[in-house]
Amino acid sequence: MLPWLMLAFVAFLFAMFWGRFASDATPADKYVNVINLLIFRLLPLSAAIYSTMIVAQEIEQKTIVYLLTRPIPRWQLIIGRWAATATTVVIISVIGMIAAQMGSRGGSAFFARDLLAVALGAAAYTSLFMFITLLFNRALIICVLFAFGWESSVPNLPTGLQGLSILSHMQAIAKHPDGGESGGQVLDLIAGLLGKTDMNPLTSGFGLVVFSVVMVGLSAYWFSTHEFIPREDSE
Amino acid sequence: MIQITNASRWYGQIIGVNDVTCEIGPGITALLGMNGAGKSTLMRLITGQMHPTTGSVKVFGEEPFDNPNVFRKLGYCPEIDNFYEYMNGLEFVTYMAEMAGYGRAEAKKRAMEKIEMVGMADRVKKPIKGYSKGMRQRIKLAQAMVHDPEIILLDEPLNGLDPVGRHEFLSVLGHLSELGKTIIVSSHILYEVEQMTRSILLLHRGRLLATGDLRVIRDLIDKYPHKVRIETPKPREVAGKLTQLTGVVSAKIDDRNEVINLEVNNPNEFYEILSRLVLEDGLPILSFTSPDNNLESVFQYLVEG
Repeated sequence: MLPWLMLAFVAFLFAMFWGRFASDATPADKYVNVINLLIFRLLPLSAAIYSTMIVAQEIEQKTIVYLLTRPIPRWQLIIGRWAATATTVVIISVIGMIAAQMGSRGGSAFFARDLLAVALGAAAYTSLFMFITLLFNRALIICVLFAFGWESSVPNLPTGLQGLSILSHMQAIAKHPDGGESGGQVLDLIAGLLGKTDMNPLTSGFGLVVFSVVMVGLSAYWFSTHEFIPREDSE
Repeated sequence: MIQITNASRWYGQIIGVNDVTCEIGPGITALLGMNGAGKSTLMRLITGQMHPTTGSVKVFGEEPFDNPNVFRKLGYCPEIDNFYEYMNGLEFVTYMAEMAGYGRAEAKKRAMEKIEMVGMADRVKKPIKGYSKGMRQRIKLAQAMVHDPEIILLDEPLNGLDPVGRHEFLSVLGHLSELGKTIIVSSHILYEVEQMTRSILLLHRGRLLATGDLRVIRDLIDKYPHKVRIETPKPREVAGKLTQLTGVVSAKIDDRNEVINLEVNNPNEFYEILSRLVLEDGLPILSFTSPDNNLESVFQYLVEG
């Protein structure tokens, strides 16, 4: 938790000192830029790290045997753990959002929408990463590649492929105004805002919910039907 | 309680257990076999961690895989030495009790009871990462018992325990057996198993080679001449005396002129006379061992004998 609190502090400092680099930035601009550049971009990283704790880490450390021989249906076990993980990721992000708000002294008008975007984004990322960790060994690498490869490039594509990116849906839900001139193209590229489309917030929200439900369902099915035994025994 | 019918399990091209059929009821039953015999695989099948490739495994008449009804009545102490190292013993066992469906207070109470039962009460607040192998084994046993299961499976539980720890562990097992629990213990050490039970399932290369009373196997071993290796500074003198004893079939002195390899018909009688000769007649013997007192020779007798 400590590294995430430190990142929240970084968000606070960023928001506080944004004005030094862009003198025309309003408090709302500062807040929006920090949310786009830090909170939304780091959310998949925290989701990747915490998602590996749902099952993959237990398999790696071989402690999974203690869980699988307890009187809890496997689907309940994995859904319970996913819910706890998604909640943790939301809490971490909210701490960052509050820090950004305190640092910028603005952005309260966006807080509710950002919270919704973060909640749905966290649900989508953690459910996707949970499924990946069930399918692959060393899944953290795949998750991080998705978080910083796919999610950095697809939202910036001009072709309308943004629907394939969770980040784009989060941005559509958050519906931030343009961060002003203070951002610039490079920062827009980092934030994944270059390939702007007119995605409907309601459709995006619904899409993320459906995606999360499907991923959680697939994970629960996979976890309930597959064996999780030490790798050296299964090879 | 446990019915295994023609169960086989393959790991790709390698067979774990091969066409095993048996029933296991209350009391202590030992799964005896060398490393790689299929003991852990059989345990994993019974504990529902794996499906059999063919055949069936039923516990209380139900398939154990992902079956909470079975796990309510089944406790498992795995061979692996892995834990949530950041927890202390009490936290770990309490967590396992909570996972079994108990509320926080009840879970903690049960955890403490079982921890006391395995003799770990004084060290339970220390982090698991600082535990010795023996302490870890005890905590594993405590977590397996925490929900008072009717069946307890212990995979190589005596590994790493010192003689005192073994004695205490065996007492706990005896106590559980008296309570009418079904206990299945796997081991690759014949001597260890003899201290626990007479009821065995003998596995060899995935196959169930023999079931029933351990004495039957002992008798079978005793049917054949028993090999005894005696180290002595005066091999010719000692061999001369020993060959005069009834029951000694042959004696061979090795090339280094330090060791006598004997074959005897009645080992128990032979050991008695040998100790008398050492004590009363001062027979110069440095050490004696029996290479027959291990599982490998048991399997040789059963397979080839």
